Amino acid sequence: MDDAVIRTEKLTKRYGKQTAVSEVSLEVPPGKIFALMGRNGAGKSSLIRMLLGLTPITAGRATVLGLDSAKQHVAIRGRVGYVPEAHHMYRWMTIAEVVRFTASFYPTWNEKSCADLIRKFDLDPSKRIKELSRGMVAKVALTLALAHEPRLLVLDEPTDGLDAVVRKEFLESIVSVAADEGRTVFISSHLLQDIERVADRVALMEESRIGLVEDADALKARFRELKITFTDLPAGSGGAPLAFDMPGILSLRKEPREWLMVFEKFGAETREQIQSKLPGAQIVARDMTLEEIFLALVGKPAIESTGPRSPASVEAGRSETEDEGKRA
Amino acid sequence: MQAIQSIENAAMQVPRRRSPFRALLWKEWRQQRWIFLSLAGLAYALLVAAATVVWPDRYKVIFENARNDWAGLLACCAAFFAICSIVVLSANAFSGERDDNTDLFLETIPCSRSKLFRVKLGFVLLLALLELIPVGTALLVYIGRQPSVRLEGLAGAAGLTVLTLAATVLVLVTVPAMIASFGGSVIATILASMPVIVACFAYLSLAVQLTRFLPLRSVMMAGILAALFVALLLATALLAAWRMWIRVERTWRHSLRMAAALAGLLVVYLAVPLAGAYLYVTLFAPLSFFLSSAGGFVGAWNPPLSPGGKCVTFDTYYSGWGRCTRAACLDVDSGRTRWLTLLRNSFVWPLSGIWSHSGNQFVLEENGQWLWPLARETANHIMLTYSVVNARSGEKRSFSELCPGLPQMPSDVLPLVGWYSDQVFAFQNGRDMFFADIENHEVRQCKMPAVFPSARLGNAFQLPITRRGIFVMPEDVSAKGEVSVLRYAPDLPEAECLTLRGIGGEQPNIEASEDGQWLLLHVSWLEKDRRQRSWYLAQLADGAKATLLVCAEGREKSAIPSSWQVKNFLPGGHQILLYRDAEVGLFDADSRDLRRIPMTQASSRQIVAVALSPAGGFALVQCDNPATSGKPGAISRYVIVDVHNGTSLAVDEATHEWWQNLRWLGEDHLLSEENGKMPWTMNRDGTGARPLLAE
Repeated sequence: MDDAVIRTEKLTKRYGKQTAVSEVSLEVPPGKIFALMGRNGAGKSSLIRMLLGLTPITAGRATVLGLDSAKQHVAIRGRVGYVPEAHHMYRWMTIAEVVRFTASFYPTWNEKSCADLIRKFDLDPSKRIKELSRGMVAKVALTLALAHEPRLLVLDEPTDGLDAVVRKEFLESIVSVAADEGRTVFISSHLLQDIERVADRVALMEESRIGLVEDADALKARFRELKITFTDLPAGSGGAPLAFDMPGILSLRKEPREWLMVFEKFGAETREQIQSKLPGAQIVARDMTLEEIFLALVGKPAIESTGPRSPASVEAGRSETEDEGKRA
Repeated sequence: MQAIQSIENAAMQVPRRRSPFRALLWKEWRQQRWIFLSLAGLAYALLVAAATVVWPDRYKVIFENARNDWAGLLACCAAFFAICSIVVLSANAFSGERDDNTDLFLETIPCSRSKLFRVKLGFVLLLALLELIPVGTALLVYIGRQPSVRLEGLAGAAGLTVLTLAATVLVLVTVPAMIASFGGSVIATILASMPVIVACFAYLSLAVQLTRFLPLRSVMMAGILAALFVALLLATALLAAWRMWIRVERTWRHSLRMAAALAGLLVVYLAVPLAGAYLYVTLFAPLSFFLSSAGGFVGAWNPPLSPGGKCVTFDTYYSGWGRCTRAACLDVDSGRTRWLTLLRNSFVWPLSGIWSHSGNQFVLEENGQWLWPLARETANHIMLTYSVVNARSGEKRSFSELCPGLPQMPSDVLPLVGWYSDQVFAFQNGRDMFFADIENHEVRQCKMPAVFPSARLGNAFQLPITRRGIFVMPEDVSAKGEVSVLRYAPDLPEAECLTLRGIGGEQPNIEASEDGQWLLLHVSWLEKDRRQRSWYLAQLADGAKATLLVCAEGREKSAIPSSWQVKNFLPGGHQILLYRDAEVGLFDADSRDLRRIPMTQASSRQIVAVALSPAGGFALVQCDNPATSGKPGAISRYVIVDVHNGTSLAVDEATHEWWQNLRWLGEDHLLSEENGKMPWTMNRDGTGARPLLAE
């Protein structure tokens, strides 16, 4: 018996000569909130679309709830709650009409659950879609995805475009109405602070491949950011040492009197080793957010010596990546 | 609290769920209804306007008598708007979701693209039919009501009308669906669909044109192959649209492959039946025997008999499913029947045609002229003619299409006149005569003299064809007391005009001796409310001069006693057969001698008709039967007279009590027919009566 809710084997998607997803092998355990992280254009949406049979699979295999994504995609969509990246419901329909229309396709549609969700999200069924705010439309989409009581909820960038308040509210809704009922949630986002709030397990997708798959807590425990302050400069260097290397360093940002270092598998022994190499330096270790870990993992080059990386340069790099992704 | 309650109530008031099919239909209707209602409303408004023009009295039959062309124009506009609205509806149904991005919502629901396609297609087809059925029917009725437009195969055949409608709807709906699968906007889909739709209609018109051409025509006209063809196109278009629609991703290579496959299929659809039909009628003609329907009856009204009396052509008519007629040729001696397979499914009933002089070939008319060499079971299409009449001006234009390899005729040639010789046909176009040689494919034209600018030949069927040419009296050119006769011949560039003066009476009709030396003119006139009949005999000389020689009835100087009725020339000579009261006589035009034929067993009653045998040796005389004379439904008595020695013999009614409409079948046999029943034959002496066809 296959326990995994989602399983992929070397799943690949190509658009012409561009590879959007490359040999992704993945297992999503039941009852977890599984977060797929990655920049825009990394291949997250393509992966989800393949899982749900919305786009043909180029190579490999995928099963969702034990059903083959390539052949049984209609059945998969009937058992999975899916909230796409953008909500393109019929603007001329009222909420009641959208609900009634969508309910027709789900034999497991639960009218009471739907009514509860509408009440919970404070939706007015008589309002037309075009009269709703983006946050309300997102809630309608979540209602439609949950009302047929799916075992698996797939959310593709569900909070994209929402303001911070609505995002928080939306994610709380997911946790309360989805995860609390023992459903599996597969969520993809590039907004890592959102994922960090809810994810049990995370996967990092970069350049069409899965980089890592790990429990969120373990991942956060594995990485530390060290702030090394040189109150007394090392002897004979005239400043901070020019070269420094140790196993486990993911990134190192140097400033004249302060280094910021991301370290993998940081422990007491590591601290002692650093201290021995940098006598007199003051070392402060702190926990990292998923976003910081993500940036450390994918933000190449790992070691910068020209000073701190400004937020603007980080954003610029991201934009370039987005553009490449869209072209692909 | 009250607000929350109302929200709860509203949420709980969501009506009972529909089936996916109904939900999708409901969505489509909500999306399309205003477009449909506005465009269809415009089409219907135009249709009503058209009806108002031709239908001021509301209880008259619509379009029965079109007042003028406004009705047609409005009806065409209605059809145009109906067509446009179908294209718009189809494009909107298949591309509109992409414009609104709602296709991204639709793809998230558990419904296959195939089902979405089926619902959209069914919905658009339904709307299209709602629009096209009344508009199309009205248009077809209007066209069908036009006088002189030959639409018996279209307006008269409901099946073909349905096929036309199906093909139209098919093109209008599926083309935008296919174009939409490329992912363009509604406007782009409409614009791209237009040239493709035009190309599709061009293809369909090409297919229709090919059906006018041998050998597809006869099978196509039956509707079976046409129905198969349209069904094949329908299936292909639906399949192609479905395949294109369900494909989520597409490359240019795939699109080109699909377009090439479609184009190839369309070519094959025409090429295969064309080749198959050609092979069928040339190599495997007997196949039709396996398909022939049982039942039916013989159409034997005045069946054409070959000159030697060896063959009888007739037709059979089967009125059951697959209604069809067949032309056949019966060999009188052997009793063998040969069927004309090419025209198996055409409507050749009742059969009419002309035998060649040798009796080896037969020309029949069935929506054109066909040449049937008796040695074969297929006929060659000589030409297909059709005419179109401008409803307003009344101007008539005629067209014809010829098969390659046969004599090329002018495009406005219409009726067949007959065989000039055993291998030369004569056609006429109202003024000029054309002589087409079926062996060397040479066509010679003999024009009407320019001095008759407005003269017409009129109904020139069964004109006297002689060795010197064909004699015709053109309409509306003769002055009072004179008659103009034109002699058309293949060696004359312009017809020779002969003027006969001193002719009294009206409505002259002419016959000629075989050598063309003598003309016999039948005339009639109204006198004291009774139509009187008379006849003239004129000798033709070379140099376009004619001499009026004999005039009956004593109105002019005559060598023949009055009251003799004239029949016709004896074959190969200048003798004419006369009869009056109980007498039969032969008048020699050269010697002007009248010889009475003694009738040894003839009735003393009134002779009412005479028919000469093909070789002219015997006369079949019909006279009153003394046994039944004066009784209601009296049966005439037939007497065979040897015109040379006067021996006469009464046909024994006992051999067949209902002999009637006797005709000569060769020199030795007679043929009896009655209201289209199977012909009977008997020997000249009245013995050996038997049916020509077995029951």
